[in-house]
Amino acid sequence: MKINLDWLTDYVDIEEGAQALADALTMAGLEVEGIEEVAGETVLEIGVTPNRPDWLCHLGVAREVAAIFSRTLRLPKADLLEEGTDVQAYTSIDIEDPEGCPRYSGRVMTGVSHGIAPEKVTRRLESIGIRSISNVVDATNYVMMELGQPLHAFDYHRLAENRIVVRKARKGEILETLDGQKRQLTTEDLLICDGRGPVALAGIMGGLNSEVLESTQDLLLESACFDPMTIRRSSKRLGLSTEASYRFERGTDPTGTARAVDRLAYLIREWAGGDVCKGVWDAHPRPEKERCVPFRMSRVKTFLGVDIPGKETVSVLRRLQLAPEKKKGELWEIKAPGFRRDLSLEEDVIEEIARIYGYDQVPVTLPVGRTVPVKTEPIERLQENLRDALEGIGFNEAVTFSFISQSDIEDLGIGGGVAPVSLMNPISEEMTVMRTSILPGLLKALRTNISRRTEDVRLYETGRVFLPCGGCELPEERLRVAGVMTGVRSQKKWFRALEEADFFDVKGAVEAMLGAVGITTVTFKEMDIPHLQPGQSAWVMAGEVSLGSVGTLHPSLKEKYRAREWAGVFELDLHHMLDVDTTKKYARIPQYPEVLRDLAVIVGREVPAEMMEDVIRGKGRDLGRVNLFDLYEGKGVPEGSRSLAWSLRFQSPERTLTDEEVDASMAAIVKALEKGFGAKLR
Amino acid sequence: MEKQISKLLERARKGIESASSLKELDEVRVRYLGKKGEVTALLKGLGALSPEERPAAGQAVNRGRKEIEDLLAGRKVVIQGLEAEQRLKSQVVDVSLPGVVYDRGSRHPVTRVMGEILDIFRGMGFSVHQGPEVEKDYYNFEALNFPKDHPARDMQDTFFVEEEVVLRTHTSPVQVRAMEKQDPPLRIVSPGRVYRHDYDVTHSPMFHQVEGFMVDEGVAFSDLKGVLVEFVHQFFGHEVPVRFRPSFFPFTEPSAEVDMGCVMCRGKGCRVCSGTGWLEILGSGMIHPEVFRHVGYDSEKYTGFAFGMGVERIAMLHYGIDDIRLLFENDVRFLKQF
Repeated sequence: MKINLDWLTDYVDIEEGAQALADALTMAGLEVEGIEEVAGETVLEIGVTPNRPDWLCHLGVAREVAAIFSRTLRLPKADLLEEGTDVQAYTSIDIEDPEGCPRYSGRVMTGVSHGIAPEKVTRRLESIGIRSISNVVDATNYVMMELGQPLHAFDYHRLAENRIVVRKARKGEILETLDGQKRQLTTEDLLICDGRGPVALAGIMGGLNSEVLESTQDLLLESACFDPMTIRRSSKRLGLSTEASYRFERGTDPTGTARAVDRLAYLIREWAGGDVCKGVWDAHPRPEKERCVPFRMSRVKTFLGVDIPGKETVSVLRRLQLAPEKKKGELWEIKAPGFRRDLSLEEDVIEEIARIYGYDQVPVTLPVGRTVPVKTEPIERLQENLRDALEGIGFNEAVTFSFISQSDIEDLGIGGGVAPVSLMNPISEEMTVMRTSILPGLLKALRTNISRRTEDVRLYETGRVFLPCGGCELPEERLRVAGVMTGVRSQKKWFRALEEADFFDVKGAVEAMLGAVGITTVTFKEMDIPHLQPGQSAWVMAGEVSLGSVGTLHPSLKEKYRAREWAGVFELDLHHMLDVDTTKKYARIPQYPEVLRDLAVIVGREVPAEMMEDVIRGKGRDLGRVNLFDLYEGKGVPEGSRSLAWSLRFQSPERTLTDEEVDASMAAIVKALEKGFGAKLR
Repeated sequence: MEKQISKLLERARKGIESASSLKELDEVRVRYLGKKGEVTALLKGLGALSPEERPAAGQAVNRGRKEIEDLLAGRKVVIQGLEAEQRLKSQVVDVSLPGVVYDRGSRHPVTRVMGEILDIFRGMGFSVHQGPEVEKDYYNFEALNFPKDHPARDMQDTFFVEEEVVLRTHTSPVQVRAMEKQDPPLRIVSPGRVYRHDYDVTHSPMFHQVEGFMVDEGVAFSDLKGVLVEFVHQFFGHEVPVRFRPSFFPFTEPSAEVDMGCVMCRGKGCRVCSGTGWLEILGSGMIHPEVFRHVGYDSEKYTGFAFGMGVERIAMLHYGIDDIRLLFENDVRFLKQF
């Protein structure tokens, strides 16, 4: 809302500079967002909160200035000279929908002449962004910007039967509004009609058929109050927002319609001549009840935490025209004026007191009271630990949007065969559904980096995915952690050669990350997973539960996301991780010496190393660490086989092991490997 | 004999002093003290002497032997020192060469700042609570006193999943859910992603908020001020001025916008603060009785305050990031800076 400073001085004295005034208004809740000079006029741009439609006009802002600085408010002149016949002889106004239109104050004027408004008026209007049109139209706009009451002038003779009916639209009715658009109406829309049909979309825009023309001499002036929700719904549905609808949907002063139409007639008479017919046709089916709001002086103190002297409180409320009145003891009451639609509770009154007294006068205290133990949810801690772990091994945390596209789901095969949670009003094609996996977002981030020539990328993200849940009110939200990596395992350095990363880097990352959160006994189960390359993809198993997947990105996706060589991805579920028992218990440090043995076997390459290790562990008595230190395929090893070599450390917690004991273990291991996998000792 | 010994000693001393390694020194030792060494030979030769001469000669040889042993030991320490020095010299490196560093990753600035914000509030007794991101209209709006068809809803452009299901536009619904489950006293902060249908240079359709609230008997507006001033001071520094000015949020009454002195220009006025010297960083207020009514709290007995802040905005101010889109592009060159 723009406020012309010179215009403001019509209603209240302004003694301070624009900036000082702006600061004072801002600190009272009327935020001044900018001060500009428009053709020699100083204009304040103010941000009006939705609860204060009474500030959407100059008088409203002047009222605030008067309250803040204890100054006198001057109301605009509306002392009409009524000359014509009684309005009753000219027209009638019927409200068929009193819910939608609680009040309609109309006047009739005759013999006005078309022309332009005084220069001062057009300059003021233009300074706040309103184009001057004609003396009559300018008058309606001027009074709206002055009093906050939207007004409309009809050409009296273009109204069929010269009368007004306010009703809901009928099915299929059409109105051509002033902007030349033919509006298809519904039974929700409120209309201003004449004896024949619609002439205006109530509270939003007039109709072309009743518009004031250059030839117009006689006018019917409308000053009405409409139901805010009705206006808002129509305005939203039609995509038509106007200065009038903006005010009506926030609520206008039902007690002010008659005064506004008087002021309008007064100005038209000044600027365009003509006679004002006697009286206002004031259709008022729902008169306002007086709205009294009780409040307790004691509550003001406890609620704000500051002891404002009673006299000061009363003074503030008087300046705000709230007519405070003492009832009994601590109990007081204010009367909410018609323009204050926002006051109904004790808290509202307290806010008014605090606002004008000054928020900055309230002391700064820390709460006193019962303590509440601060708790941290285990899953929060887990998430934090995963972040630390991944950052420790070189992953950068990414934050990607929670929206993905349907084609992401199809490309990655991450839909699980169920329709994802989709948005009714997505912002773009790329962001139509809620993610069912973190990977699409990370892969797009990967693509961004690669297209910007960053070739070593390690990104992770932890956040929620949204899984549709049949029969639930809301989708299931699960916390996951996912990562993507490509590029080198280790850069070429002065002390080492370059190494490219491969499947075992991404697997190792998962192992390191899980190890850091105490999950040390996972296994990797080879599994075909749509987004991963067959033969380099696995489920990460904790016992019988799959925590998620890890592997090499499928070649077809690699292309889509521009990863040139190898790219690895993983995605795990935090809720499953939380189910894994990670209790730690101290084990005595062995006192007796270790016996070291190496074991090398040749075995079919299809035999998983992990399975062999399980057998080794099962058969080796007092076997401690097992380390696969060599893996070889090629010359010297039969086609289709490979050689694996482990170092085994035997150690008893109770005594020194003898060679014979260790030999027996080794023999048992070898036998089992031979029997189980056809392995041959090298 | 005496003469013979002193000559021998003289040679031995020279030999020992000129030995430059432990090996050479050992050769000297063998030459004199070894089985076939000269001192050993002298000892063996004692038998040829007369019984009268023998004790004196024996003592002389033993003295000589002792002296050689001492000299050897002394020289050994010296040589060991020299050798150690030599070894260290051969191991000198160029300490300016790059170290063998394990590449560390980095934490996203939004998460980092969020963590710092939550830590400050934990320190003031607030616990972290989470709620759904896909939320019922009831929790996101209705129970927070945003009636249907109310212009206040315009302040938060909404993504819809269904008529009654939205992407939460703020983390305030957690407030309602927590109060439904627990009775006061409550001190809760709820961080998380929020969504608004707005996408341009300064708006992201997804961003992060931390909202918090406290409810108990006797909580006053002055407490709200105290907690939030403390927060701004801990996060941005104790010298930063803070001001509260009236505003409007449907779920608080009175409502206050919290501004702090611009951290870019220190209040002088610049582009970041639009020349005002102030930056808006928090919305806050005393919890509206209508919200208490929805969760069944007695607003005569209990009062409380609530506040909310945009994490991206705070992160951008904190690190001097001038474009919100950088936060979601995930360019590694950006991420690695944090």
